[in-house]
Amino acid sequence: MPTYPISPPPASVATQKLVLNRRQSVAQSSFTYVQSTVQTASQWQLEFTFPVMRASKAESVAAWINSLYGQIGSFLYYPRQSFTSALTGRNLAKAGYAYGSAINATGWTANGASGLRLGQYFNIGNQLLQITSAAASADGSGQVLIEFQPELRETFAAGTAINFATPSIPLRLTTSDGQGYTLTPDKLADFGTLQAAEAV
Amino acid sequence: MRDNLTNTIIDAVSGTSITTALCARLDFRSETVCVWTGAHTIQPTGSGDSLLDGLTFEPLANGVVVNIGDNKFSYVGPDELNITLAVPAAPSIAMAAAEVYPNEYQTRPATIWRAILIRPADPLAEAIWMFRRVRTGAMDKLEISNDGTNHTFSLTIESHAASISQASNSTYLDQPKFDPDDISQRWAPYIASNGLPDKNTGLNYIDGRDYQ
Repeated sequence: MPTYPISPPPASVATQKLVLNRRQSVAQSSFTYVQSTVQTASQWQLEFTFPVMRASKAESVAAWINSLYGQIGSFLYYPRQSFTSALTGRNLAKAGYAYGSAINATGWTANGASGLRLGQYFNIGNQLLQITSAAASADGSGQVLIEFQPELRETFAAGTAINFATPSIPLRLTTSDGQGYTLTPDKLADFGTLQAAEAV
Repeated sequence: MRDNLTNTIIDAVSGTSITTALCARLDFRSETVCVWTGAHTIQPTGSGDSLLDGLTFEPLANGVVVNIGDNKFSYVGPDELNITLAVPAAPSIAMAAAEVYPNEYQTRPATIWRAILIRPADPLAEAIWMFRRVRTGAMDKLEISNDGTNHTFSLTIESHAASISQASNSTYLDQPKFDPDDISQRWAPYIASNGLPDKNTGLNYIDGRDYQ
């Protein structure tokens, strides 16, 4: 059995829909519509398709899918973004705490442009996070306050590296049903839509 | 105001968004299993609850908590409460033993807490969990279910009274079930017979030892 998570799909994806699902229960008054919401967890979910491909290529993709062992194995996925950040050498200035959704990052020059944008993905550990608020420039000590979603699942110590350049997410298929390709009469292979969810 | 219902907790539960979790401490004979429904490993301190402080609650190591049943109380006492764990690929010693030996869990105590996340005003500060006991009882029934698509370990926690009521038929002679080193109750038959020697053997032996 391979060591999971395995490498990304051997073919680049054609379409990607990456959404953040939340586990919440809502109790709403039927008299006033006032509601109370209980949030317990969040999980990324990915819906993706491969482009139609030659049968020979499809065989290698099918082998990659089967090497996932249904829902047992996981794979790394690098989300497509409009712009790939080149920021490196950024760390946590203070500890990032479990269930927290803000960090203080360091590594910028004093008062320098942060180079961060809303919606940008990044990693702390192997958790994929998305920026919801970030200052345009660092403060006088080269630190930037970043707010993000989802919340951290574990506590990361000060000094932990933040990966803006190559954010990835470990995913596993959401079903143990087989996933294969349909071979058309002109010998092109179509995998249809595949679904995967964050391996927590 | 009820005891321990501080303003911090009232603020937390009356917010528009609440984050909660449940912690369970299951005192199996071979080990104490501490599980909770949160995401990370947690070690409560300073709650003042002797069963809780200093213990490490794991979200994964002893099986993922997949369900906790209704916590119902009425004038006739509380209904039983279920906790269901997914059996991990490598079950813990207590889980494996409980599948075979009833004395691994029967009449042994289990406690469940409700935990509420208190978010600090500073977004960079560590969030605090506050714990309140919601049930303490004796573990009673165990169901292990494996239907091909699910593999779960479901324990029933009775009310505290269950451990001394007829439901479990516990007596003082069951003391070693709670504490194997406690032989104090072995004197009970000796005292009941007025300290007279055994009719058959003529000895005052208890458990093979002469205490005279």
